[in-house]
Amino acid sequence: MRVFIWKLRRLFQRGADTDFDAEIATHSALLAERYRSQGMSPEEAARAASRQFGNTTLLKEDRRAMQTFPALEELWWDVRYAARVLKKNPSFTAAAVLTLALSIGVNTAIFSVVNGLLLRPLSFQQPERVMMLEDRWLPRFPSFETRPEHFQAWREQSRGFEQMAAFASGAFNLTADGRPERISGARVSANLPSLLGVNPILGRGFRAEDDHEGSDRVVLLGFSLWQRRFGADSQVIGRVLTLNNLAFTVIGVMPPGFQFPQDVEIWKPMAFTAADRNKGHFIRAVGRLKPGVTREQAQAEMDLIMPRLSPVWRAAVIPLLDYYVGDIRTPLFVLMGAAGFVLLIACVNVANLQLARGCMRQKEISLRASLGASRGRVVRQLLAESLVLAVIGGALGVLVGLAGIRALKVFVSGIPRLDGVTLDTPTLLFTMAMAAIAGLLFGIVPALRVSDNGLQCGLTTGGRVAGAHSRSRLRHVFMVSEIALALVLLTGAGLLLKSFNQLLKVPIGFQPEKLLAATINLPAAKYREPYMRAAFVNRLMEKLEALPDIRQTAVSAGLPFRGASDVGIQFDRSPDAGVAGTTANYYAVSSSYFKTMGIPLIRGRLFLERDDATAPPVVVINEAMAKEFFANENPLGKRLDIGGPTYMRAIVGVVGDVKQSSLKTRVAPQVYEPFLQKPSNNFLVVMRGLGEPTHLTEILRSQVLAIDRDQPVSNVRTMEESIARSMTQDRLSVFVLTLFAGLAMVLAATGIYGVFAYSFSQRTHEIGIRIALGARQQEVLMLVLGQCLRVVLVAVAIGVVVSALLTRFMATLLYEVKPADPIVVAAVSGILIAVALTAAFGPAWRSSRVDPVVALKLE
Amino acid sequence: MTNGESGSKSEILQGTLDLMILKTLQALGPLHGFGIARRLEQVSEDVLRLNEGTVYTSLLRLQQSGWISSEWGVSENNRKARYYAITRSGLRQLARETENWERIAAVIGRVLQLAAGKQR
Repeated sequence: MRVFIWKLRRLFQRGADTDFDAEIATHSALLAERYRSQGMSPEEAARAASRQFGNTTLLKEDRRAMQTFPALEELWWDVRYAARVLKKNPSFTAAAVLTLALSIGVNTAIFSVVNGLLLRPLSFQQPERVMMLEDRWLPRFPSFETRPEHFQAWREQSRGFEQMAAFASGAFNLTADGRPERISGARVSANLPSLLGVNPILGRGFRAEDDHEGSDRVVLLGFSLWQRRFGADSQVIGRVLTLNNLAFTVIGVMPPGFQFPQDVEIWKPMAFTAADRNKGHFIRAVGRLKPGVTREQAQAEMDLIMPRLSPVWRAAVIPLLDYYVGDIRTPLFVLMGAAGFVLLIACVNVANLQLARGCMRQKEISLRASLGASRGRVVRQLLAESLVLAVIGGALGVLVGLAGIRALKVFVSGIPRLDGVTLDTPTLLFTMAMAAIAGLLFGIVPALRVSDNGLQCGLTTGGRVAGAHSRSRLRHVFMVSEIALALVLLTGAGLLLKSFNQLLKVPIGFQPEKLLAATINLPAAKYREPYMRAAFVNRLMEKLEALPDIRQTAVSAGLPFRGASDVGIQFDRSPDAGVAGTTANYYAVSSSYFKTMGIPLIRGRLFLERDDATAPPVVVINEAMAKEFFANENPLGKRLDIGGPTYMRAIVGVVGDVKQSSLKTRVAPQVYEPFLQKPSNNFLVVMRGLGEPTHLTEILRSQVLAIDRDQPVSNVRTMEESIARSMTQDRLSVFVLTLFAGLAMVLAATGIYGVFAYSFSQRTHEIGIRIALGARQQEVLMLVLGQCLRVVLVAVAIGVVVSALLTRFMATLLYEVKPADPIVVAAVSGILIAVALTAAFGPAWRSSRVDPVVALKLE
Repeated sequence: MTNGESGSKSEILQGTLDLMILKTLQALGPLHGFGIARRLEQVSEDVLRLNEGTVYTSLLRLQQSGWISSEWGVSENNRKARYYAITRSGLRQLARETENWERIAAVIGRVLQLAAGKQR
C-alpha cells in the first residue's frame, strides 16, 4: 500500500530521473577519484569506475519499474498501437465507429429524455414528499378536480400532511399600456410557495391574511412575465395592474423556472368565496407529507375521510412526479429497451467486423505470439483496439445524442418537463458506461477467438485453418442474433404503426379540416350579467358572419380536444323508472355550432336563434346518452337538469357522438345547451374560412377589439393541431421506434452481407470444384441461397418467439391491436427474410460466377 | 558484460543487501550511496563484490517501504549527493530482520554441520 502511494506521488513529481543521474555521477566521480589516487590514468580510472558501478541503463529500467505502474504503461502502449492499427484500416474503422456512434447516440438521446423526465427530481424542496391530491370516481373519472369543501375537510382532518394548499389554473386578461394580453395564471392558497419551498426573489410572498375574500388583490409575478412585460424592473413591487378589469398590487417576483401549476406566470391568493362553494369540482390540491409518513399511509387516511364527505367520490394521493409523467413512463421504457436492442445489434455487427479482420491479421498475431507475447497479452492488445473504437464511437455518439435531443424537441411538443431535457452529467456518465460495456461486448469474443486461432495456426501461410470452421459457426450465431434482434424491433415498430393507423381512422364525429378555434375570456367584473355576455357574443357573431372571408362561425363553451367541463345530469323521472343521473361532457353552444363543426343531427332539431334567455330551456344530447338512458323510448321531450338542482331543460334533439379529449377513449354522454340560455364568461370562437389561419386570426382579433378594445384573444389553434397534440405520445413512440427499427434493419443487413461475403469467399474452392464437376451457375446460386435461407429462417423463428415475449410490455401503448398481431408478425418476418436474402444475394451471385480454374488455382 | 562477471562473485540475496544497508546506516548515521558502498566493501573485505549500482535499487526499495529517508547534501569533494538516514520504523525493521537472520543462520549452520558430519 505504501509503495502504491509512493508511486502515485511519483507520478506527479518531475525530475526524479535527473536526480538519479546526479547521484550516479557523484558516485562514479568519487570512485574514479579513488582509482586515480591509486595511480591510474584518468581514462583507466573512469573505465574502472564504470565497471565497478555496473550497467546504468539496466539500473534505470529497474528503478522505473519500481516507481511506476507497468500495467498502466503497457495499456497506454496498447492504446497507442491500437490507434495506429485503426488508422491504417480506415474503412473498417469508419464502419465500426459509425455503427457505434449511431447506436450509442440513440441510447444517449433516449436516456437523456428518461433522465430529464423521470429521474431528474422536480425543482422543489424535497419533492418526493409533495403529493398531488385530487378526486376520483372510478372508473369514469380516474383523475378529477376536487371541491373546496373536500379540500377544507382534508386540510382539517388529515394528520399525515405537514401542509396542504389548493390551486386552480385560470387566466387573466392583463391590460397595460394599451396592449391587452392573456396570461396563464392561478389562484393558489397563500402557503403554496412555502409548501413547495420556493421564495420570491423580489418583494414578499403571500401572507395568510391575503387569502381572504376582499383582501386578495395582490399578485406574484413569474420571472418570465416580469422580464417580458415589465423589463425586469425592480421597482415593479407595489405597482397596480389591471387584471380581468380588477386592480391588483404586485407584491413579489418568483424565481426563474418556477412554474406551478405548469406554464403559469402569475399567481393570486385562492381566497375562497361563497360562489366557489357552488362551482363544484374546480380545484386541485398539493400536500407535503410529514417526515416518515408514506404515500400509502396518507392514502389510507384519505380513504377514511372521503366517505364522510361523498357517497361516490374518493381521493387520490399521487406523487407529484408521477402526476406529471406517469403516462409517459411505459412508452419511454419501451423506447429505452428498443435503444438497448439497437446497441446490441451494433455490438454484434462490430464484433463481426473484428472477427473478419482478425482473420487477415492472423499472421501478425502469430508473429507476436512467436516473439513471446502471451495469449493474455494478445487479447489485451485486441481489447485495446475495441476500447479505442468504443471511446471514439462514444464521443461521436454524444454528438448524435445531442442532435437526437434537438430533433425530439422539434418533433414532439406538449410533454411536461421536455424543455428541461439536456445532455447533463448523468447522461454523459451513462454514455461513457455504455460505450465501455459495448467495447467489452464486441471486443471480448473476437479477441479470444482470434488470439486462439492466431496462436494455434502459427506462421503457416494459405492453407485451411482448423479454426475457420468454428469461426464461421460463430459468425452464424452472430448473424442469427442480429436478425432476431432486428425482428423484435421491427415487430414493435410494426405494432405501433398499425395502432397509430387505427387511431387515425377513428371517427372523431366532426370535421376538423380548416377549423380554427380561439379562446375569449370575458372578465367577470366587466361582464357581470349574463345578458352582457350574450350581447357580446351576438355582436361578434353578426360581425364575423358579415365578413366574406369567414364561411362558418360559432361560439361554444367547451370544445373537443380543447377541454370541456363534466357536469352532473339528473333525469326528470321517478327513481324506479331507470337510472336517475349521470355525468356528461358539457357544451354551451351558439345555434350555428353543429353546422360549423359538422356534427350530424340524428333526430329532433338543432338549436335555433330563438332559443334565447326568454325561450323555454332546451338541450340537445348525443347518441351515446340517448342509447344508454333512453334505449327503449323516445328521448325527445324528456327533461333533465344540469349541475343541479336548478331547473329542467327539455331534450329537443339528438346529435352524433364526438371524441372529447382523446381518440382512444370511449365517447361519454354529452349534453349541449344554447349559449344564449347559459352565457359563460369563457368560451371559444370556432371559424372556418378562406385563407391562412393567421389571416383569420387577425380578422377575429380586430373584430373583437372593435367591440371591446381591452379584450384579448388567446390560444388560437387549428382544430387539426389540437387533435394532433392529443396524439403527441403516440407520435413520439411511433416515430422513434420506427427510426430504431429502420436503423436495426440497416445494421442487420450490413451484418448479413458481411457474414455471407466472407463465408462464400472461404468456400470459393469448394464451389470451384462443384462447377468444374458440372454444376450449373443457377444450381450453385440456389444451393448457396438455400443455405442462407435456412439460417435466416432459424433467426426469424427465434425472433418471433422473443418478440412474442417482449411485446406484451407495450400492450398499453397499442390501440385495438393485440401484441401478437399475426399480420404484423407475418409482414415483419417477410420483410426481414427479403432483406436478408437481398443482402446475401450479391455475395452468392458472385461466388456462383466463380471461374473454376481460378478457384482451384487459389490453392 | 556485468552478467558474466556476476558468476565469479558471491550471489547475495536481495533482502540481505537491504539488511546490510540498514545496519550500516544504523551504525554510521546518514551516508550517501558511495559511502554505503565503501562501508560494505570494507566490512566484507572484498568477499562481497557487487555492482555498486545495485545499492541504489536497494535504497529505493527501502525508501519506498519508509525504512530510510533521504535528503540532498554536499559530498566530501563538493559534489551534490543524496544522504540516506534510517528512520524509526527502519530501526524496528532492522531489529526484526536481525533476529530473523540470526535464527535462519543458526538453522542453516546446524544443517550444514550435520551434513558435514555425515560426510566425514
